[in-house]
Amino acid sequence: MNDLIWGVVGLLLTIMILSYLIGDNVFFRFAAHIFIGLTAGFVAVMLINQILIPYFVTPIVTGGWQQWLWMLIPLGLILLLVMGQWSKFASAGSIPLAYLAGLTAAVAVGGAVFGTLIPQARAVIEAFDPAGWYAVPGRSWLRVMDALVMLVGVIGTLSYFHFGKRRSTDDVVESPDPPRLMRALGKIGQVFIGITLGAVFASVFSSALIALIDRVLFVGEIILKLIGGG
Amino acid sequence: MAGLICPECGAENPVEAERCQECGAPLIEKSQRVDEQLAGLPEDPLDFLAQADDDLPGLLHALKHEDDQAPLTEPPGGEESVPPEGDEPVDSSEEPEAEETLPEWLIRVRQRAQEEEDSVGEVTQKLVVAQDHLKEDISTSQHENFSSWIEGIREEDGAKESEPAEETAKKTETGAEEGSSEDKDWLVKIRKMEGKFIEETDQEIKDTDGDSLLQWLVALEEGTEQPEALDETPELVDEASVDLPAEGDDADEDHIQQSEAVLKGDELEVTQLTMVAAPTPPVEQPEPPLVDVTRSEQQQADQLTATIADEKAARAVVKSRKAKSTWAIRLIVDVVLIGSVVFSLFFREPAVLPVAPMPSQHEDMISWIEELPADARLLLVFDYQAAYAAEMALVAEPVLEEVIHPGRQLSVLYTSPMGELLSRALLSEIGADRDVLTDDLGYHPFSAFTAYQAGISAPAAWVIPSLPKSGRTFLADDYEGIILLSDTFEGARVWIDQLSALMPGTPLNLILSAQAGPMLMPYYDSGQVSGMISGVGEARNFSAAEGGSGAILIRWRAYQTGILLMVTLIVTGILFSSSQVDDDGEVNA
Amino acid sequence: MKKLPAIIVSVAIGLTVLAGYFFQAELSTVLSLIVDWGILLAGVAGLIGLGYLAQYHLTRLMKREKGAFFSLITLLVFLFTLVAGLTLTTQNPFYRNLILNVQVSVEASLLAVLAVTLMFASLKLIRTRGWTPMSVGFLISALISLVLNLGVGMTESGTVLGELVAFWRRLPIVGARGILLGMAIGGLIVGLRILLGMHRPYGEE
Repeated sequence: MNDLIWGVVGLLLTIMILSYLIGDNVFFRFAAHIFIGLTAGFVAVMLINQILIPYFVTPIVTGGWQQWLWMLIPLGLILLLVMGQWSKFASAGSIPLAYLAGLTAAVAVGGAVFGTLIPQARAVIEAFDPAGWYAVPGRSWLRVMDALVMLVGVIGTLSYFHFGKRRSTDDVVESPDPPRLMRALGKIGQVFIGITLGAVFASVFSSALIALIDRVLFVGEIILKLIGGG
Repeated sequence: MAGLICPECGAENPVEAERCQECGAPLIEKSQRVDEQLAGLPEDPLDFLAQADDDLPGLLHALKHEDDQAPLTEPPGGEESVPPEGDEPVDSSEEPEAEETLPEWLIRVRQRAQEEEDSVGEVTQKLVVAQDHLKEDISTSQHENFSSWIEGIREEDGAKESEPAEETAKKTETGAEEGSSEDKDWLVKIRKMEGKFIEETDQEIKDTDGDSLLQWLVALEEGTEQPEALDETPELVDEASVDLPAEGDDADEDHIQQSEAVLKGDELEVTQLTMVAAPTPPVEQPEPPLVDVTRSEQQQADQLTATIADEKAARAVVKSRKAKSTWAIRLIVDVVLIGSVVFSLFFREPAVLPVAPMPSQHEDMISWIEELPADARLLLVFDYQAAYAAEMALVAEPVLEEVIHPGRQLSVLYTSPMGELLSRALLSEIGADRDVLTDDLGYHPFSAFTAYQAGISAPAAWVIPSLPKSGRTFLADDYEGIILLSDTFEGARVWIDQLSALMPGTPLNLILSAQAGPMLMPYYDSGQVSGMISGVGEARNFSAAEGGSGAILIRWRAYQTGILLMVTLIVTGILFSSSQVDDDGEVNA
Repeated sequence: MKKLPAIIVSVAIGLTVLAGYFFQAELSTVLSLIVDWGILLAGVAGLIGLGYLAQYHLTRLMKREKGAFFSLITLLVFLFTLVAGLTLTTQNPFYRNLILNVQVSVEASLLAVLAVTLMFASLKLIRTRGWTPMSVGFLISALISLVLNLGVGMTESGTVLGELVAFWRRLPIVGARGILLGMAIGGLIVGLRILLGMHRPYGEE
C-alpha cells in the first residue's frame, strides 16, 4: 500500500511534467517548483551532513587543542567567504575564492596535461607504429588508413577551432587569413566534428528515449495497479 | 528600424511586410496590425522614434530638439499653430539658450553627436534621421492632429471641468471630431493604445532599473538631480507654453500618464513627451552636477539602456498560421511516439535477442571481470543523476551482477546528491547490499577534487600528528579496479584525467549512459580506460552474452520503435527541406 | 596591494597541488588537508548559493510579484525537505521514498520531454543549419549511429562488413579526440594563467 501511495505521487508528477508536451501550463510549473524546492532542500541537507559535519565539525569535536588551532584556518576562510556576500566587505571574499581558484586550476592543469594531452597525442602517434599495422595479417592497409584518418582528422579539428571566426561584442572580427592548407584541414575538421556531434546527438536521443519508455512503463504499471485494486 | 519580428526565424522585417523576407512566414494578420490602427499617422518617422528609448542620450537629444519645435508646444491656434513647411525651427539658433542650463557633459555629448556619426550610437543617429523626417514630411499633418487634440482638451476643460475622466475623454473626442473628422479615429485609437499601455506597464516602470536610470538622466537633463523629478512633471511644465488644463483636473492626470507612458517605448509617446516635458525654468535648477562621461561610459550606457529597452520593447503579437501548423505537427509527433511506445510495451511480446559479436571495449571489460580475484577490493563511483536512473540500472545491472560476488569488498562513493539513494536502490536490486561487504565513502560533491584526492591517497612519507583529521575515511590505493558509473562525459572525463595521472596502474572501467559514450571512446582507444559499456544499445549485447536481462527485453521493442521513428523523421526532414528549397528556388548556403 | 594576499594564496595553493602530481608520497599529508578544506569551502559556497535561491523566492513572495504562489510552494517544500532531512536523516524510509519518487519522476519526465523535442527538432535539422560539411557529417553520422544502436551490422570482425562497421565506429573518435585535445589546451592555458597570477577570477582584474 505504501508503495502504491508513492507510486501515485510519482504518477501525478510524471503527468504534470509530461503535460508540457501540449504547452506550458500551471501543472507543469507546479511540479517544477516542487522539484526545485525539494532538490534545494535535499542538497542543503547533504551539504550539511556530508560536508560541514565531517570536514568541519568532527575535527573540532574529536580533536585536541592543536587540531583546534589548525581549524582556525578554514574557519577564517569560511567567515571571509560569508562576509564577502555583503557588498561592503566584498573584497574579503576574494581570499577564499582565490584558494578555490588555485586548487581548481592546479587540478585542471594536471588533469589536462597528464590525463588528456599526453595520452591522446601519444595515441595519435602510436597508430603509426608499424608493429601495430602487421598485428592482424591481411588488414594492414586498414590500420594504415585508420592512422592517417586519425592524424588528418585531429589536426583538422584543431585547425577548425584555431582558425574559426571570433565574434567580439561589437563586431565580427575575422582572424588573419590562414594558409590554404590549414583552411582545407579546417574544412575536413568540420566534417569530423559533424560526425562526432551526430553520434552524440543519436546517443542523447537514445538516453532520452529510454527515459520516456521508463516513464510510460511506470505510468502504465501504476494505472494497472490502481485498476486492479492495488 | 522598428519592424516586425518574425515569429518563425526572428528576423526583423519592415512594418509593411506581410511575409518574412527571410523565411517567408506570414508575419501578421491584418486585423492585428498596430500600424494600421494608427491610420493617418505616417509610419516611417515614428518607426525611428520607437527606438528612441533604445538609446537614452539619443532620446534626450531628440527631446531637446523636439522641445525646440515650437509648434508642438505652442497653444493651439488652428492652422496658425502649425509652422509652414520650410519654416522649421532651427536647432542651432535655440540651442545655446537651452544649453546654458545643461551639464557640461551633456553639451559635449551633443556636440560630439553632431560632429561624429558614431558618437552616440546608431539608434540615436536613426533618431536624428527621424527628426528630419518629422520636420520635412509629417510636421503639418502631425501637428494639426496634436493641435486639434489639445484644442479639444481645452474646449472640454472649459466646458466641464468637474466631469469624471471618462466623460472628459469622450467629450474630448467630440471636440476633436468638430475640429476635423479625420481626427476622430486617430484620437480614439491613440487613447485606446495609451490606456492599455499604461495599464499594463505602469507597475513595471516604477520597479525597473532601466527606468530609474532614465529618470536619473532626465533629472540631470532638467538640472534637478532628483529621479523623482519626472513625477513632478506637471509642476515643471510651463503652462504658458503648453496651455494645459489646471492642476487637479482629470485631464491633467491624463497628461501625467502621458509623461509616464513616454518611458515605455511606444512610438507616439515620444512625441507627446515633447508636449509635457517642456523647457524647465532656469530659476528652479540647482547647481549642475559635475559628471564626466567618457566615450566608453557613454557606449556602455547606450548598450545597457538598449538592452533594457529591447527587453521591454513592445513586439508585434501575431498569430501565425505557421505556428498553429507547427503546434499541430508537434502534437502529431508526440502522439505517434508515445502511442507507438505504449503499443510496443503493453501489446507486444518481449523481444528475443540473439547473441551478437561484441565490440572490443565490451570484451575487455568481460576479460577484466573474469580475471578479478575472489577477494578483490573494488571502488564503485556513482556519478549520475536521477533522470538517468532507469538507463543506468539497465546498463549496470548485467555488469555488476558479474562483478559482485560474496567475498569481494566494495567501497561506494557518490558525487551527485542523489548518489546515495540511487546507489542503494541499484545495489539492493542485485542483492549486493546483502552479499557483499560495502564501505560507504559518502557524498563527495566535487568530482575533480575527489578524483585528485583518490589519486594522492598513497601512504604518506611523513605525517604531522597534530593535523586535524576529517570524519571521512578516504580512499586507499589498493583497489583491484575502479568502476565508474556516469551519465555525462564531463563527469567521467574528470575521473579519467586524474586517475590516468595519479593511479595509472589501476584498471578503470566505465558504465555509462548512452550520451556519455561517444566522447569517451578516445580514452578507451588510448588505453586509459580498461573497458566500457554505454547505453542500452550496447548493454543489449552484453546482456545477451551474459544470459540476458528481462528488463532490457521488455523495453527493447519500444526502443527499436522510437529509434526507427527518429530515423524516419530525420529522413522526412531532409526530403521536406530539399523540396522546399526547390519550390522557393533558393539554395541553402 | 589589496589583491596581493589573494594572489599569494591562489599561487601557493595551486603550485602545491600541482607539485602533488610529482611528489605524491612526500606531499600527501598536506595535500589531503588542502583538498579537504577546498571541499569544505566549496560546500559552504554551495550553501550560500542555496541561501540566495531562498532569498530570491522570499523576495518574490514578499513583493507579491507574478508567480509568488509558486515561490511560496518552492519555499514550503524547501523548508520541509531541509527540516525533515536534518531531523529524520536521509536513512529514514519516508524521507528516502519522498526524495526518490519526486526526483526520479520529475527528472526522468523532463528527459522524456527532451526525447520528443529532439524528435521534433530533427525535422528541421537541415532547414535550420543548411547544407554545410558539418551538417552533412552530422546527419549521416546521426542516421548511421541510430541504426547501429539497434544492433544492425553486428557481424564478426573478419568480414568486410564487420571491418567497415568497425571503421565507421572509429570515425567519431577522430573528432572527439580533436575536441578533447582542444579542451585540454584551453584548460591548460586558463589554468596556467591563474597559477601565474595573470588571470584572477576571484577578484578585480
